[in-house]
Amino acid sequence: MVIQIVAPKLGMSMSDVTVVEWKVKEGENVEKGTVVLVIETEKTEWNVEAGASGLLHILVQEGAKAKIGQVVGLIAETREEFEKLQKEILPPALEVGGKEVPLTEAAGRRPEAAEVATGDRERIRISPVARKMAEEQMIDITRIKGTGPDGRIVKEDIERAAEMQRKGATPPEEVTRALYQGRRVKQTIPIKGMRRVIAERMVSSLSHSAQLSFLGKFDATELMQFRKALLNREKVIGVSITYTEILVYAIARALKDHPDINVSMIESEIKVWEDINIGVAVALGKEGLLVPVVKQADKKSLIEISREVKSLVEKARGGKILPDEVTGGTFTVTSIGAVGVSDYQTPVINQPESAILGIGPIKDEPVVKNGQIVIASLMPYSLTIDHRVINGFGAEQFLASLKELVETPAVLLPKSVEKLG
Amino acid sequence: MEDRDVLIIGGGPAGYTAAIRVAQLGGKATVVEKDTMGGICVNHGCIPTATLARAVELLEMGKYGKEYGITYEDMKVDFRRMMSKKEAVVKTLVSGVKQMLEAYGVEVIEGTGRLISSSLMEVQLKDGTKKELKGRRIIISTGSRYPEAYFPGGVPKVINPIEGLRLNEIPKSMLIAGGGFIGTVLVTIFSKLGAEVSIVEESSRLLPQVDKEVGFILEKEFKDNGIQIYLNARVMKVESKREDGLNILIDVKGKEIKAGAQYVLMTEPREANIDGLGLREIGVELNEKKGILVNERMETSIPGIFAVGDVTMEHMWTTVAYFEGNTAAENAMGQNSKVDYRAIPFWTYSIPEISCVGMTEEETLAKGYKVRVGRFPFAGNGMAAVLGQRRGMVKIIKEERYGEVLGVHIIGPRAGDLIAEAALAMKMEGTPGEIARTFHVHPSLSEALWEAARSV
Repeated sequence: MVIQIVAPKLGMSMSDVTVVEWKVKEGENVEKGTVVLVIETEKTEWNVEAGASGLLHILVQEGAKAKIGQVVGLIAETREEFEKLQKEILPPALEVGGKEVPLTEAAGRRPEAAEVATGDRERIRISPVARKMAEEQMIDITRIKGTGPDGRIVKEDIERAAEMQRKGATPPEEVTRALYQGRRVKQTIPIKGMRRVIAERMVSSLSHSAQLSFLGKFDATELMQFRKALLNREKVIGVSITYTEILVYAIARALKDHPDINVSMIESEIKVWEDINIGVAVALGKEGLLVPVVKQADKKSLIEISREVKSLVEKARGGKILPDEVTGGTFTVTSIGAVGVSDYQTPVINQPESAILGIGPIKDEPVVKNGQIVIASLMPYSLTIDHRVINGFGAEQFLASLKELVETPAVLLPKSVEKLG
Repeated sequence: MEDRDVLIIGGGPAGYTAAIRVAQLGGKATVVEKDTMGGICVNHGCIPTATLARAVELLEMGKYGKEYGITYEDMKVDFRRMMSKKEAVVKTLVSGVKQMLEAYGVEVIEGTGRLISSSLMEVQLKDGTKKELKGRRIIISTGSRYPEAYFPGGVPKVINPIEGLRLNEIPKSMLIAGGGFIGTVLVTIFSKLGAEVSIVEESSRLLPQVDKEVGFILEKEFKDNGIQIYLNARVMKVESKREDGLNILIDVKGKEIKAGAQYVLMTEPREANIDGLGLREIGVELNEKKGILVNERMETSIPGIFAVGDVTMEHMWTTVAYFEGNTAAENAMGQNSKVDYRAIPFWTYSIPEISCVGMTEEETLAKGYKVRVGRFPFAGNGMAAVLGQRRGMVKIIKEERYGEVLGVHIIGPRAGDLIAEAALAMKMEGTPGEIARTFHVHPSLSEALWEAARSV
């Protein structure tokens, strides 16, 4: 039996996805239920799990786009079936709905003209012999620069790459980069997938808006007590509530009083958003960053927010978050948390939002209270606003409200507890 | 003095192609030609030979037309008209070349050129006056010729192919030395016209570039037509007999054999037209074959001077000359172009025709390839049956592991046209799989290659 791996539909507006990474190489074993493929939409990455165990046959190479429903790979149960698949140089049928198809239908049949024309494998210009050599010798043709007419990959290019591979060197592309403009290159990492999306969006944000940051500290002494109390009642509440979750709750309430912050500049207009949707930045190791969104946070209790944030973070880390869950934010909070060394950052606005709040690690510091030097737990904050649409005055007013909520959690508590009941 | 972009000496296939390419790239090209535009190919080689071969093909068709109920009353050979038709075809093509050059705005000067430097040329015009031409680049495409005398003393009836195409009457008998692409078509022409023909070839078989299986079919055909074939043989000595004829001494595998014929036609050797070009004076180097030494960009040892076509004494075929002319022109105009000599198709207008591209099966094995071979006889092809030309076959050789087409050899009707598909497949590093998956018109001769590809 041959099982298809199909590009999944992850959102309403999606039409295609990019194949970011095959976790298993051509011809290697995959286990049912393990992640075999990472695909990327405009907004997010998604892990595709193998529907069966067997040998992987890749149809759409890394970096190439695939249509929703397109078969991007096949899993052959037996070596025999796999070899049969490899011999087939034709792309399999598009938009085959079923999960399991007999070999004869998946690959053994004759193709219709339209299928051949739309096959994504044809996107790489390569001679038939070169393609067969590359397939058999497991050479990644997406990394080879063709030297034939119009950059077509020819036999010689594959032979050169194979020679490099035998010598244990990286393909020619990498070798030529060993010395770049007089500097020695240790490693060349292609910018792809999530890294590329982040890079593009950060630059775009800074080059399209006027960003101004406000730095300061909240006194979190009472907030710590408040959280401790919540943690002590964890069994009753059912969740262990974090500072970030409390801040989402507090920000949502502050934004309700300051709709001039919950805005976006779209073309030549300012849209004041009805909903308050708070994005929570989630770091995914060194590689990435995702911002899942708590929709209508102002209408949700602290516990509801806590549960939702936890679920979204888990999905993001597992590569299972849907595009709709990382879009639609109106304000973002990003927390360096306990691991942070720095107090302040100047976070970059997550467009098209107009404000982002960064939170540093809480530290004990001497402060003057009522003429006395006392020790207080301070939480550094950095608010970046888009000065095109928000003035310093508006930002300070919003911060004043937020400060009151954070520093006097008693104000929060009754509201929070009301919904507990 | 007027400045030209590119000066070209010699208006043969390599030269006129270069001129057109220069014009296409926006340059000003001048061709200097001392004789007639079109070179050996159009005037004395490919075109007249093919026209005569067509004539004998028509004669053959007249013979088997009976099977179709068509009988030509009073069918006979009028050698004079045959020759004038040949001249007419040549004229048509020469004027075609001239018109094409005119359309591209290429200047043509009739005269003999001599290089003075890498940018200066002296031309002796037909009226005896001299003129200097200046160009940023120079392309030499003066071609090749058959040497005047082969044997000491010179024997009048030892002729070269050009002279063979200019005979006034059908020879009674002829010995042709050289069993390659030129020799075999001349054997066909003269034997079909009724001459008693023998052929002498140095290697162990005719057409050594063509696969054995395919070549043997022609050898058999020749033998069936009463043609005497001497293999592993060389013409040692030719003497005039008292009467109308020659005494010929042939060395066959070390044994001396005496033969006689009215004419001896030598298809070899050829030499480059380099005399009087002033190459030595300006330091243009020659190769071992006494042709002009060039690299794959067609550059000579002197920057700014290119050489293309037969004058290099390499790949002496019009098929290749076009590409060399094109490449030299592109490089002369500042581009970076190379000739890719892989997959050159060859053809001879014998009956049946033979064509090939790539290696023979023997060559592939000698080079250590593991191969698989596909064959298809024209006897199984519908169109061949329709045409009444069912002799011959297509042979395709592919490398076993990746399936690359290594060679295709065809003997049969229109083999020269059919080989184009195979040459394309090889140029694109194709496999028989691509040919097999391509639609071919039915009924057509092209289905024979398709069938051969399907069988391997």
